[in-house]
Amino acid sequence: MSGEAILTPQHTVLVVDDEAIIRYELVDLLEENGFAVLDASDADEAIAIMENHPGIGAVLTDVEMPGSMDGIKLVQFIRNRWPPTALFVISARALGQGTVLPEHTSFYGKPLDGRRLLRDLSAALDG
Amino acid sequence: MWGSPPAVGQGEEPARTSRFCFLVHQRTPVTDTLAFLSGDGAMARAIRDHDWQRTSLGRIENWSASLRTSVSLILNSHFPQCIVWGPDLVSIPNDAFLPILGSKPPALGRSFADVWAEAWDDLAPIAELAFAGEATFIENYPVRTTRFGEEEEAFFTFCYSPIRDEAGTVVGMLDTVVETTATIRADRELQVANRELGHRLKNTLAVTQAVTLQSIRRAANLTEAREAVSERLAALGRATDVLTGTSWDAADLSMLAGAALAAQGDDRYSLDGPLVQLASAQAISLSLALHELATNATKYGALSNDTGKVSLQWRLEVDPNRPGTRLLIQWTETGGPRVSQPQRQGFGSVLIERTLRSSFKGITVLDFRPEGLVFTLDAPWSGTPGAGTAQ
Repeated sequence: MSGEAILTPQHTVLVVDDEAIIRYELVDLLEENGFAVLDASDADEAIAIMENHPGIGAVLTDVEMPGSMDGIKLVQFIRNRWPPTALFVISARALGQGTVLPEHTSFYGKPLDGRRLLRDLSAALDG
Repeated sequence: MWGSPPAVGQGEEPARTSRFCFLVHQRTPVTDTLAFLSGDGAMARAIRDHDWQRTSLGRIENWSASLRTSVSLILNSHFPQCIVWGPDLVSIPNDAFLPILGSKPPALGRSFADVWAEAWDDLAPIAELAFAGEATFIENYPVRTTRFGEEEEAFFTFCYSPIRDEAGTVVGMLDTVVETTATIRADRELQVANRELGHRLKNTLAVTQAVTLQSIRRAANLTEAREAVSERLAALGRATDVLTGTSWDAADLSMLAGAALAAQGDDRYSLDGPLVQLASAQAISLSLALHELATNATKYGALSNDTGKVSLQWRLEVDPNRPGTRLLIQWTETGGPRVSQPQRQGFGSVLIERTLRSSFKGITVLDFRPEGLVFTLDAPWSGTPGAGTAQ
């Protein structure tokens, strides 16, 4: 977990990815651009962080992860439990037929276009 | 040229300009009413032996010329074909058609609708078109069939074409078919494999992107960034080699370590440990970490002089105080110059410690002992040696 000391909840992004190298790069990218960032390596860890840090503004999650739920189930869970959270899903795989993301959830393919992500995150958190 | 062949037994030489006439000359005497069942194929024999009086076709000796000709045509073909005759749809398959029937009861003399009962709802309209005088050609038509005892989806490219008698009346149907199930399944598997390949490629690109950006972000200058990116991507390439040499899903720790350290061009490494399979994400993390450790050893550690050595050991261990089996990996440098704690943590250290800790869900310690750097990874491990992967 990083950035714990400077949390401003509505501008805090939770990054969830089991691929540590990718996760650290996302954390660095977001921190460099003024976001407070928390990170988790799976959905269970992410939910525990959400419980302990109310008001997290956005969650950016990978899809395929070990643990009790994948990224799709995680965003569905978060939408139900913490409705205002902006949700962003990233994956190296196209979304499968029949996969339903919660409303207003953005999907990005891997590798990420960092500039687009930053723009969309800013819009979601500032809007 | 299409005139009557010379009568058998007259001793006349067939016309040398007409090979066709020669062949006709060698045929069985026309007095044999079963002469149209030429050849010794299984179906020719079966047709001879079949009790046709029990079918609407009646005694074989009384079959019409069009039926005889049709049967003769399919028996002399190596293409899977089946004649479907009369309002009762009596089936007469040729030898090449038999594999298509699988383990179904013999189709000869039975209703085609009965032979393909499980798919007849789909096939009947096509057959009706043929009996109405219209041929239908369909490629890769899916048919739910139970021909091997279990329901399966099979695919056929076929043509149902009408057979007319001398008066032009449709009296039967010719099913000419080739099974394409294997091709369709291979195509589908290829599509799945391509999708999986695309996923792995994009995931590898994402890792490459992260390694590159982290290397640039943490480099002191452009030269250092260029070298770091180049070397780390080469390390990533070596890990990919090991993964693609197996199933991609898992890689042997020994092979990974061997590939990572052989690239350093130094024979002062010793590797020792049992057969342990690592998941692909772990394999990539460990390969990158070993590359960082080896680079550090060459620049500042045990391999920066002529006498130092590096030992990489791993073992599986059951600790009575902790659940399950543990995988312990230890990198030990000896004989090098005196070691001191580095001033800043570069991406190399991040790769070694944090990335491995996260990938293996374990504990990592990078211990800069004065006598030599020691790195340890202690992680939960499941499965049997050589088969399981670190958790």
